[in-house]
Amino acid sequence: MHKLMSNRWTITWLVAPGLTLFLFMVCFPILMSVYYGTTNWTGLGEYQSVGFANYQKVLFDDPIFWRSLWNALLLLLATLLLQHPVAILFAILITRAGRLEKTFRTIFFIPAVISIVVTSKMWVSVFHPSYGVLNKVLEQLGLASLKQDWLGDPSVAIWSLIFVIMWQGFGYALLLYYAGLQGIPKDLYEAAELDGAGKVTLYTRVVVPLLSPMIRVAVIIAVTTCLKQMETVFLMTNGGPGSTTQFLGNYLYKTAFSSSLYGYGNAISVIFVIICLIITVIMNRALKKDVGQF
Amino acid sequence: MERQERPPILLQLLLWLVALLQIFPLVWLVNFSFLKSGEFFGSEILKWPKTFEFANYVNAFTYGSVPKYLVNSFMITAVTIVVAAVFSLMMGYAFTRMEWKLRGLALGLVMLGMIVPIHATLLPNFTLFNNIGLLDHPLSLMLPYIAFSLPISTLIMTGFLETVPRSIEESAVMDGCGVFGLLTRIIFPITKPAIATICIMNFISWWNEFIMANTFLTSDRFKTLPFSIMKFAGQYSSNYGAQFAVMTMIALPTLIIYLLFTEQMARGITAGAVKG
Amino acid sequence: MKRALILVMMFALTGMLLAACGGNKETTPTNQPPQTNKEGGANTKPEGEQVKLKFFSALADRSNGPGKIEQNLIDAYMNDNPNVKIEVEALQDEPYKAKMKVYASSNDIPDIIQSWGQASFIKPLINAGLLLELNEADFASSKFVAGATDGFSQDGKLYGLPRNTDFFVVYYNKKLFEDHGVKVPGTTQELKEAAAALRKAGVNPIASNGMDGWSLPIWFEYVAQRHNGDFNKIDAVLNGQATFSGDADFLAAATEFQEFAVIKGLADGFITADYGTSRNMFGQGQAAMYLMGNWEAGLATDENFPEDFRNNVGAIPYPASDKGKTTDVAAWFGGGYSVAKNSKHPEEAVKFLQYFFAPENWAKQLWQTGSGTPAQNFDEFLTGDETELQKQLIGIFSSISSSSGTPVQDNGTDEFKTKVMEAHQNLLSQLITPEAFLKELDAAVALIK
Repeated sequence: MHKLMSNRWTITWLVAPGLTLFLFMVCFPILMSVYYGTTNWTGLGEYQSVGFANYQKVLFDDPIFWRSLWNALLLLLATLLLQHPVAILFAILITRAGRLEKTFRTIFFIPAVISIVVTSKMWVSVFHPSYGVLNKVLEQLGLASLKQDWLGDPSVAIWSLIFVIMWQGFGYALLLYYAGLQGIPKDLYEAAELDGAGKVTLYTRVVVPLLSPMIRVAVIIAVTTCLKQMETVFLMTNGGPGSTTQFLGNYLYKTAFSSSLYGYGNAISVIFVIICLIITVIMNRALKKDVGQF
Repeated sequence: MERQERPPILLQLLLWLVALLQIFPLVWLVNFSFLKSGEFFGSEILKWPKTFEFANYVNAFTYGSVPKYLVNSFMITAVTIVVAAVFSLMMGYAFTRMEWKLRGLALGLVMLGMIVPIHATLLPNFTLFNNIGLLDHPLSLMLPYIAFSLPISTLIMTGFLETVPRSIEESAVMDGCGVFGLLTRIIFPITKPAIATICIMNFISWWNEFIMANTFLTSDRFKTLPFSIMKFAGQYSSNYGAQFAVMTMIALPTLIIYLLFTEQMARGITAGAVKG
Repeated sequence: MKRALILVMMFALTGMLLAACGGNKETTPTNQPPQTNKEGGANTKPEGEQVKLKFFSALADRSNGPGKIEQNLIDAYMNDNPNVKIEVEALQDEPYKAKMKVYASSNDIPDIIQSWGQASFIKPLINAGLLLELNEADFASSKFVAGATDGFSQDGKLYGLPRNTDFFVVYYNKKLFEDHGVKVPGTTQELKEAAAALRKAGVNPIASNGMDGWSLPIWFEYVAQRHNGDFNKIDAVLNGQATFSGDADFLAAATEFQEFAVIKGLADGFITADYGTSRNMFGQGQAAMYLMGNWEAGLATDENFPEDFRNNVGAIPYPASDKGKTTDVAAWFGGGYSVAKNSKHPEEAVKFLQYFFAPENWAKQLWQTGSGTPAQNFDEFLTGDETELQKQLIGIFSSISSSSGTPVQDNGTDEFKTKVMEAHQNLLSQLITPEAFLKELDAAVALIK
C-alpha cells in the first residue's frame, strides 16, 4: 500500500495537469501584476517604472480603497451573522417539511442559478424609488415613512446591495448545509430522541456541531466571495453614489478600464490578493481551533 | 424508515413565504416579458397583459442571437465542468491518499488560488492570451475557468475523501488494483455526491460569468449567453418587453438544467449519506 | 482653445442652412469614383476574395436612430460587395470606451472603430501608433464642414472622420407641463421653479443618466456659463490661468447645481440610471424634462414610445439668465470613425468609410430620419418635412452665438475624466459641499498639468 501510494510517477500524473494549468492561469498573471504595479502604464504604449509609489499610494493615500475594503467587511459580517444562521435554520426546517422537502430545496436555490445580470436588473427595478415594488408595498402597508431611494441614497445603498447579494447567495449556503445534514446518519437522531433530548437541544448540541466541517467550507467560501464581490455592484450601482458602494474588484476594474491607470489598478489587485491571503490565514487558524479535527 | 409526520402549519407558512421571495423574480420576469414596453410603468406589482406580446420573444430570438450564444455557453461550460471535476478528483486523491514531500506546499498553493480574485488576472491574462494567440478562442475562457474552479473543487474533494474510510481501497489494492483502477472503479463511484456538488457549483459560476467572456472573446462567433443580455440591453434599450423576453430565455434553460440536475444531485447526496 | 474653431464652423454651417432655404444650389457631383489610396493602389483583388472587417461601434441601439442608419449602411454595403463581411460589435458609450481600452492594450483593435475627436479618447490611440493615417483627399466628396476634422488630427495628419455635430438641449414633454399648469422655463430661475412645481405635482422633473456620469459636467457648463456669462472661463481653468475654488461665480453655479438635487428636481433614481433607463423614463412619459444631446431628435419617431409622447415632445435651449443667453449653447463635434493601423484590409476599411460618408448615405439619412446633425454639408437634404422636434433643434442650432466646445471631462486623460465625473456625481448625491466640489475639480485639473 505504502509503496503504491508514494510512487512518484503516479503522483506526478495525478497532480501535474491541474497544477500546471493553475500556476499558468492564476499564479503567473499575479506575478505579471506585481510587475505592472510598479509602472505607470496606462494600458497603451510606453511606460516607466515608478518603484513602489503605486503601492504606497494605495495603502496610505486612497480613501476609496479603504472604503471598498470596509464594504467587503460589512458584507462579510452580514453574511456570517445573518445569512448563514438563517441558511442552517432553513436547511433544518426543510428536512422536516415532509413531502415538500424536495420542492422547497429546489425553490430556495433558484435565485442562485439565475444569471446575475438578470437578477441585478430585477432588483434595480424593485428598488426604484417611484415605480419599484418595494416602495409600493411599503406605502400600501401604511409605512410610507420608510420609503427610500434604495440605491441612490448614499447611506442606504450599501445595505440594499448587501441584501441583494445575500438573497442571491442564500440558496448556495443552504445547499451546502443541507448536503451536510444529509451526511449525518439518521440513527443519530433516533438515538438522541431515545436519550430524551428535546428538538432544540438535539439540533444545537448534536446536529450543528456535526455540521462543522461543512460550516468551515461554507465560511471560507463566504469570506472569499465577499471580498471578491464584483458583478452585482458592477451592474447595480457601479460603486455609486460617490464611492459608497465600491468593492475592490469593481474599483480596480474601474481604475484600469475607466481611468486608464493600469499600473495603479495592478497595484490595487496585488494588495487585494495579499489582503485576501492574510484574512484567509487568520480565518483558517481561528476555525481550526473551533472545529478540532477535519 | 420514513418518518412522514405532517409539518406544522406555521412551519409550512414560513417556508412558503421565503419560497415566494426566492421565486418571485422568475414570476415577475416571465410576466413582464409579455407586456408592451409602455405597460412597464404602472402601479401594479404584477400585471395581467392586455394581449400577450409574443412578438417580444420573436424579437429576442432574431436580434438577440440567443440560439447561437446558447450553444457557445453550453460547450464552454460543459468542457469546463468536466475537466475541472476530473482534475480535482485526481488532485484530491493525490492530496489525501498519496504520500509525498511537497504535498502540503502544493495543497496550500492551490488553496491560495481560492482567494485570488479573477478580476486581478483579467488584464495580465489578456496580454498573455494575446501573446500566445489564444485571444478570441474558446480556450481563452475554458483555461481560466478550469483553473479558477480547481481550488474550491479540490477543497470539496479532499474534504469528502477525508471522510471516506480507506479500508475498501486497501482491500482493492490487496486484490492487485492500481491507482488508476482505484480512481475509476472505487473512488469515482464513492465520490459521486462530491462531484455533483462540484459540478453544480462550477456550472453556476461559469454559466453566468460575463466579465472574462466580455474581455477575452472579441468576435461574435464565440460569445456566451450572459454577454447577449448586455448586448441586447444596449442595442434595444428602449424595447423593454424584448429585453425581458431575452432575460427569460436566458434564465429558463439554466433553470431546466438545474431542475434535471437536482434529481441527480439529490440521489448522489443520499447515496453519500448512506455511506457516511 | 477649440472654441474659436467651433465658432468658425458654426458660422459656416449657419450660412449653409440659410443658403439651403433659398433652394438647392447646383448639385455638386456626389459620387466621384473613389480614389484609391496608397495601400489600395495595387487593387488587384481576385474576384470573391473574402474580406472580413470588424466594426466596433458605440451606437448600441441598432433598431433606432443613428445606430439603425449605421447598421443599414453596413448591410447595404455588404449586399453590394458580397465578398466583404462586416462584423459589428456595439456597446453603450461607457462600456464601449472600457472595452476599447482592452483592445488597445493588446495592440489589436477592430478594423474600424468609433472614435471621438477629443484628447481623452483619440490622443492615446494616435500616440500608441494604433490608428491609420487617412488621406483627406479620399473624402473630399463627403464635404465635411470646416473645422470638423480638427479634433481627429494631430501634427497635420488625419486619423479619423467626424460623424456628428452635437449640442445639448432640454427636451420636454408639453403635455405634462400643460396638465400640471407648469410654465415652460425661459430663465434658469423658471427652470428651478418648474422643477419644484412638477415635483409637487408628483411628476419626475428632469431625467438624467447620472450613473454614466458624462452628461452632468456638460450640464454644469451651462449652469456656470449662466452665472459668469462666458464658456471660456472653464477653459482658462483647464489651461491653468485660474482655479475653480475661490471664484464666486463658480461657487454660485455649484450651489445652484446642487440645489436641483436638494429640491428633488432630478428624476427619482437618476444617480443609478444609465442612458437607456433615463431615456425610457422620459419617453414613457414618466419625466417632464430630459437633458440630452441633439442626437435624440428620434424621440419624436421612436415607435417604442406611446404616440401621446411622440406628439408632445419638444426641445428648448437651456434657459437664460441675466449673464448667459439661450443662444450660448454647449456644442461640439461628436463621434466619428478611425481605422486600425494593423488592419489586415486597410484599403477595404477606407473604401467602406468612403461609401459610408458619401453625402447621400450617412449625412442624408441621418438628417432625414431626424436622428441627429451630421458633421457634413447637408443643406441639399433639407426636405421641409422635418418633425416639429427637428425644426426646434435646427432653430437652436442656427441661433448659436457662442459654444462650449469639447465637454470639460474630455479635455484630459481618462483619470481626469473619471475624477471630474465623480465630482459631479458626488455633488448631486449631496455627498460633498459645493466648495469641496470645486476643490475636487481643481484636484482633477492638477492631473493634466
